[in-house]
Amino acid sequence: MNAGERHEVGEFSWGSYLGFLYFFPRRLYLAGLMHIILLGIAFVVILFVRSRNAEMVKWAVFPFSIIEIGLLTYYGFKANRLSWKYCKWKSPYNFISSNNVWDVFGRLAVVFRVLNVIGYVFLGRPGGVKAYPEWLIIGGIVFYAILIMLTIIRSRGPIWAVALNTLKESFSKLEVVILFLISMVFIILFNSFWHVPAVREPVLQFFEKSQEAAKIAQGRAGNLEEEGQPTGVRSDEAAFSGSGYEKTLFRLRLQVAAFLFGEFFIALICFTLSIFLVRGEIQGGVVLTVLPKPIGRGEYILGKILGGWIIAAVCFEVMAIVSLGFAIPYHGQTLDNIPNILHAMLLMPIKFGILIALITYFSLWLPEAVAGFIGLVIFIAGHMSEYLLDLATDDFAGIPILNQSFKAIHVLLPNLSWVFSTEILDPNATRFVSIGPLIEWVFWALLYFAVIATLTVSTFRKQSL
Amino acid sequence: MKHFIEIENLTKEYRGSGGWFRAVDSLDLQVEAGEVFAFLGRNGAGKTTTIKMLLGLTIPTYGRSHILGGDVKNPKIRKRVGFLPEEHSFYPHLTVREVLSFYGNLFGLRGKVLRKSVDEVIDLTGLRGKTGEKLRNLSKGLVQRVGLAQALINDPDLLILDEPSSGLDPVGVREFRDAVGRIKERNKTIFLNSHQLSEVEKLADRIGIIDQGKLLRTGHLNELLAGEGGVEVKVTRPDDSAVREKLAGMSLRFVEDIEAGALILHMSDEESVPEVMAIVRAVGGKLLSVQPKRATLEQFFICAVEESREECRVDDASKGKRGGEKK
Repeated sequence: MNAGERHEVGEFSWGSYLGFLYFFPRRLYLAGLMHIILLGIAFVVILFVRSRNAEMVKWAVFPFSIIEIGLLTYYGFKANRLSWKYCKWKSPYNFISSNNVWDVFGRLAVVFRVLNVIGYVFLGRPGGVKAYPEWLIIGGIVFYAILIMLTIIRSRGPIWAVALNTLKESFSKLEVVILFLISMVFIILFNSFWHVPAVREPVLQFFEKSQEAAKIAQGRAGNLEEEGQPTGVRSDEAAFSGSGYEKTLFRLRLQVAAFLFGEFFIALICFTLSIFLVRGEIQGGVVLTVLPKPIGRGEYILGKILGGWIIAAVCFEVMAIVSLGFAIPYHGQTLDNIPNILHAMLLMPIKFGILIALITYFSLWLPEAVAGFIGLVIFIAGHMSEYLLDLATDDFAGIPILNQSFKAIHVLLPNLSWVFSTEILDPNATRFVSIGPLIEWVFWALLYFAVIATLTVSTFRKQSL
Repeated sequence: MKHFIEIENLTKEYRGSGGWFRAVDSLDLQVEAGEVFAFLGRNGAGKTTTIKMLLGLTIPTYGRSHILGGDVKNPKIRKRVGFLPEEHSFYPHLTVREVLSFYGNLFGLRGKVLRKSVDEVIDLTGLRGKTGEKLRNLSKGLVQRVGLAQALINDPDLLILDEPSSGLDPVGVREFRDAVGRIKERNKTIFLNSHQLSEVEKLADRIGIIDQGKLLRTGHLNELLAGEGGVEVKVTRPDDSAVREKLAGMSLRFVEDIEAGALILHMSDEESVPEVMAIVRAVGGKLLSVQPKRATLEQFFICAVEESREECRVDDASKGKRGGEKK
């Protein structure tokens, strides 16, 4: 173990002690408990991973940062019940009688902590200057994610009441029903094509008639390919000219196309719902009857987003289950699409959650049309997130700011390319064979959702209605 | 707890096209437990903004307010408050019972307790027989009753009603007033914003008049109106010009009753009646009647917000006796 690692382990110990002493919250005891659990997990991770991979030692800082940044910003100085008790215990003259003392010791604790961090950053291992702030940011985000989940669990009543009401309301909206039906029509029609002979045969005959032309075209294409020119041959035509594998591939592509159309219409449901999810209730005055009740603005927003998300998720899952029904007869074949559909069933709803949270956030402070447009741009650009990363590494005539800009946009935008339908349903894609990237993406997506939800809540809290 | 509502130096400034303006200007107000307090003012006087700040819906520029002895942000406090906003809408896809159950859920009511609360408010607001109807099919009057019912679902200690009869027809206004009357009988504290002065006159114990964001008057309704009325002296018509000349220095208003051939003299207090009568007799007039007058709330309200009007002009001496506590 080198000096840098020792320092990190040392930081872990400090964090364990100071974090518990200074930042134990007054109200959210669960967070304190979680702190201990996370530190325990970190300790185990260090013990088991250190010998295998020295880089992993940096995880030691991570759990501490989660609690530290969150409690520091969320609960402020008056959260230091333990430090207050500590002061009372240490003071023989009982001079501490004012609540202001909480603040004083809280501030002292923070000053001490800042000095500790500065010392760590400048005296720690090489690269520590970069690493520590990054972990602090991640820690803060994780804290808010945990806080949102706890808020949903703890304030179950009001949040679920709003969510279920949003659910009922949304299903009574004609546009939602129509969009959902359209998505189902695409799924059923495209998939039925292959199963209903009365529909399939004429189309196959049509393709078979063009088979000869396709062969000719292929022959020409072969010549063109040899000459290094574009072939101009559509793979669909070629699909019926060759083996069973190609036909199956064509069936699969139909399924993917149906899925893609279906997903598009579910995304449209997300758009139509979330633009007016909160804004509609503000404009209509419904919010004036809800918020004077014992429900926080944060709980209200989370309830609305949750309700919208459930709608999108339910619509999508129904659509996916129908797709699954069409895919089951081919289970076990070379181009078995079932694992990919299952992946989609897990990941897509998370994507819709991000989309709903984003549009709701923009709709709070921008006109509906602008919020919708920005949502659409983010939705499209989010699907091209990985291309942005490529651009960040491309050479733009030696203008580094362009690279930095693309990198910044890549970081800011949600990375939806991981759950792009065609990628998920691509039989040749092996992206999600490994569980690691899958968990990583889910973790990242939940964090992104937490950040947007937090932004939305804090924006709404500042608004006069 | 002495005051159910306590407002201290509450101010709200908005930025308009012509710069900043104050919707509510340094407002101080208290409402005591068990009373019906009516907050009166013209459109745009700052009534609704005050209520919104009181309920934490609008953030004050400065100043503070307390409800039921605590901060309105505290959910425990909000559990004891009911509110019917002026401009509102409810979920049109829900039935009356569903919408009331939803609001009950927000108070943490469940199961039997919720059903009982919903039944109670349905009876109280006269919605029995309409519980299965969707809100989109109800008339405005019935929707307003649903609004009142949702404000009462938690059996609140403090009920805040913002223009509850706005847009209702006369029958609707009366029915609504009866419903609020029944709530008043339960000894609830009610803070009522209203344009319906007849409604206020029948329901309110105390009133406050606000104009251009400033509180002009507060006081008990009976005291304010009694003090405002003064005395009306009716005399046979003597030589008008002579009477006017002799009474020029006094605080009087002259109204000619041409049909009866009489002159009516309004004076702000009864102490000057003998002096006035002596002058009238001196110019040949005869006393027909003397009666104390109780002003209507409408007169009082108009005089409070438009002191320059003819019928509101009084001299400085009598001004001091008007309008209870002047802010």
